[in-house]
Amino acid sequence: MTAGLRLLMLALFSLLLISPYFPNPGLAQPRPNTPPPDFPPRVYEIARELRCPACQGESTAESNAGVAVEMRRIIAEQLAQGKTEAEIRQFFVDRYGYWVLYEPPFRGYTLLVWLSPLIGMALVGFGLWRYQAAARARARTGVAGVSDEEIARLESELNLNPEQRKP
Amino acid sequence: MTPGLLGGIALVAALIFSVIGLVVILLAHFLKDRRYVDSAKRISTLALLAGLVSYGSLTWAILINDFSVSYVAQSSSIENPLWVKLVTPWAALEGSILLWALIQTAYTWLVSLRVGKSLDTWRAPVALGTLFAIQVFFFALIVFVANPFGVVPNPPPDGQGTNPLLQNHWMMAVHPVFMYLGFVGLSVPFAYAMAAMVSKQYQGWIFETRWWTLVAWGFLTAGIYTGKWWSYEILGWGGYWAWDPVENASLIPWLFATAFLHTGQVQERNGLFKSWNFGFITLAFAATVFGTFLTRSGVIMSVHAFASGPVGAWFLVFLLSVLALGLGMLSRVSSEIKDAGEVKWKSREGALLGGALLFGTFAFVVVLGTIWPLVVEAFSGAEVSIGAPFFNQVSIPLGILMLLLMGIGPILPWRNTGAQVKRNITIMLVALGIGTLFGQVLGLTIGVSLTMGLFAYNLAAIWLMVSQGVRERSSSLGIPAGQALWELASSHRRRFGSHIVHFGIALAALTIAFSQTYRVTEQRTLNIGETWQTQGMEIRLLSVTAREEANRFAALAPIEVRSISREGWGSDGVYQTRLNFYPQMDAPLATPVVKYSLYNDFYFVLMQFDQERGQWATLKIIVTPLVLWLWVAGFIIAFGTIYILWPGAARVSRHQMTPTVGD
Amino acid sequence: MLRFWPIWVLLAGGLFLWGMQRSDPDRLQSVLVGRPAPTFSLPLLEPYRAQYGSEMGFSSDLGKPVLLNIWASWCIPCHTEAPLLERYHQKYKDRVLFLGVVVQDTEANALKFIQQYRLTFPSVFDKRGRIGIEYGYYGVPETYVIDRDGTILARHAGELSEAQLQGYLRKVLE
Repeated sequence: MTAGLRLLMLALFSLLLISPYFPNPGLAQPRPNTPPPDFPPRVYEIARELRCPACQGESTAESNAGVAVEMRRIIAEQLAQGKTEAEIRQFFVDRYGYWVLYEPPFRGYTLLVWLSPLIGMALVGFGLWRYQAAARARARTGVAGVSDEEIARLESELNLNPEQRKP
Repeated sequence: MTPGLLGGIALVAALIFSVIGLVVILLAHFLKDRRYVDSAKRISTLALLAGLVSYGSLTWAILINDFSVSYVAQSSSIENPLWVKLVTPWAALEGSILLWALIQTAYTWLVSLRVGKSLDTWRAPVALGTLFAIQVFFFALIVFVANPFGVVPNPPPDGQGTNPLLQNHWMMAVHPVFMYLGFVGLSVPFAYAMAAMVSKQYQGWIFETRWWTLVAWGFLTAGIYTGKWWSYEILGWGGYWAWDPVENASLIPWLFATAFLHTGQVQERNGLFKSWNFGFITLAFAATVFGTFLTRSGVIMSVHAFASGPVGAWFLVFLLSVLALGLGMLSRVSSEIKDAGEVKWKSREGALLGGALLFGTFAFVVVLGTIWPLVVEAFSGAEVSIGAPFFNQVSIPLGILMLLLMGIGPILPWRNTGAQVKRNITIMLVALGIGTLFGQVLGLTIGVSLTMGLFAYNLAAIWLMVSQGVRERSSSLGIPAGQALWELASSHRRRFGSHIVHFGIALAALTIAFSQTYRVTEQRTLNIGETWQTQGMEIRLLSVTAREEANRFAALAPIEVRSISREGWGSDGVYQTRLNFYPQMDAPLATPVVKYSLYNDFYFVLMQFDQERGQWATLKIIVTPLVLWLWVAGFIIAFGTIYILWPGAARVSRHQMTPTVGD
Repeated sequence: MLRFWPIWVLLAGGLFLWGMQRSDPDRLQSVLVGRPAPTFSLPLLEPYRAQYGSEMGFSSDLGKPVLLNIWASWCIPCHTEAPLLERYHQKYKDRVLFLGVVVQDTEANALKFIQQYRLTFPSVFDKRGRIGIEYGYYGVPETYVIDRDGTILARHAGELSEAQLQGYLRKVLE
């Protein structure tokens, strides 16, 4: 097989990621035989924060789906036009909604998720504090607060070392 | 007999043995007759054998290309090399559940061997019963919903092939196995916890499950690590952790198990935090089920998801049962347990509690961040994404606090602090300051500088602990320092192992900070012979060719790289960048070429090429610092875990069971 | 807190059950619904130039509802959808403009597709799918229903059934 023929075969094989509606189209999405533009690092930094609309599980920086490739191109063009990162993000939000941002907005429903470290710490901390307070109070009042049944059970448990436990 | 038939029969046998085992062990529990326990032990062996036969038949069917077996027809191919065929059983849904069930039978069998030893016969029925019940669920699921041994009436000449993503790297062969060993392994501490809660013996289980939890934790860590590694070397985006829902789902049980490994020590020491330990173990196990549910139900969009099907609903039922059972038991037990005692914050116990607080908080954040898009959609109909930028930002403060606590915790003595400790902490804080300052002098960002400081601080902590112990021992016994170190390290495996693990974690944190902050991605199209100078490298495209390989078709674009400045050190060489085309996949897979060096890691990906004349190729390069050290840190963590678990440690740990012996 | 465990279990169960019963969890909503449709003008594919000129697109002064269909020759649902669109175009061509936008395709393949299904409604060529992004598309086929005033009434992702198409036409012609 000549090199040219092989490349032709490759062209037949070469497809891009497919539409989300059809996981296995069997038909090839042609890959244009023109080189994509060169992307400076900034393009990927912005693309990494945008979700790829077609493949959804990946960011625009990773995905090779047609939409993602074009989105990277748009980012590069807008950077060249001197747009700021915020403006570029807004451009995509206007078309795809907040869904497209991997970083959820700091308000509304997603404000709560931003506050989750504080909420989590407050909840777990409160639980620990309550537990500690109760345990300390019990330690101060001595074993009086513990039922006889429980003392008996604890004692039986402490007395049973592994050897003795063998029936 | 065909492998399909044998496998199907063995599968049903495994289910029947599991059901019988469950019934027998329930009889043992209610009739309080230990003869039933002995039968159940034998039945668990039978279930394991049946599971092995079934799994073996599936492998056999794959090896002989028996496409009358549905799983083989759907997920294998004649063209696959031997090693791919050997890992095909867990490359798709049905086989992966079979592997899961097999591992479960193995764990059940191992636990049954402990009956009469660490597991007394009063509690054994509940512990084994829990495991048998889980086993019944999995085998029933395989037999009735996701049977790999379906009969294909007209076998095709070749199968549909294995997912190419899994064929591209040997790491994929081990990642799922580690993951399942870790996930399933957490069912054992859960079973022990259930037994403890039912039999109302709240203290003893903590010693018995310490080992089991650490084993599961070790496998889980290895699973997460190999997943990262695979993701880095295969997916071609230059990262190793994307905060994808499924990745999060593997992190949640890890966080709960880690919390348990720490708070468990407080209970060992002075019997406190019993209910918390039950809680952490229950949540860790529930989180593994949650992760399985996520990957197999398609409820949250993820790249890792298996094709969703009816199994999702069954996993939901299973998840809710585990949650209901676990939380129900916990709620009953926590009102009954009346711990009495006090923990000072400025003591080892206090630091361990602080750890529990941080791990608990982190788990809460990850759970909430993972399911929140679903919650928002359910309540407002709006669609939102919560991804890497969010998780990266919230992990920074939590990570810093964890590193601070990780250094200080082991330095603090049990119960209270002393003068020696204050001096040590001063030294550590000086190390923190110097490290941070050093980073600033080098011109690093404040976050990375601080991580450098925290690394130095943790290093100082470990050094102080080890050197002071060695000095005391060598002067009191009059032996050389080397011998003292050797004796200490071999007699205090748990303590030394934890130093090793903590060092690995500190190193991993350092590499994560560097690689996340200073990763650079660039893309450029080169003509043959053209050079590109960037990131301290000079890259020249040599040629563009195509090649047919056994089960794929590849486009190759070899490049020659020369380093021209400090940034590019270590990048020199000739590399074959390639795109692989698999017949069963619509998109080509760009397998990156990864060149590790001591500092920067170079990553070359072929993005596109001239299909007509082979004149140009588009390359993406990613330069990331210190990724090599992230893998080194992984090996250190694994080594530390094995060091603790290594046989011989058992004697020491029994010694430590008595709460008065100090470290 | 732990006392209320049945509530927590029920909440988790309810949430996941709801999540699982969604017919298509990957479906995205369009933020453009209810907003003015983006205007554009693109080169027409060759067969339509005689009738419609060299360029065509959406502009607010059309005074006629538009059914904008984004398609590509490599997408399977487009193949089943094309005859349906053609039939309704014949039926409604005086009242509704059926406009195709070919994205991420080669011109040759698109022309072959048009010939195969004898499509008479005009299609413009958008090689890299730039207009698709303007409309917030995430796959093919996608259909946008635009009313007389140029406002997007609905976005339909995936293949249209006949009943769905009738529904959209009824809505836009009210």
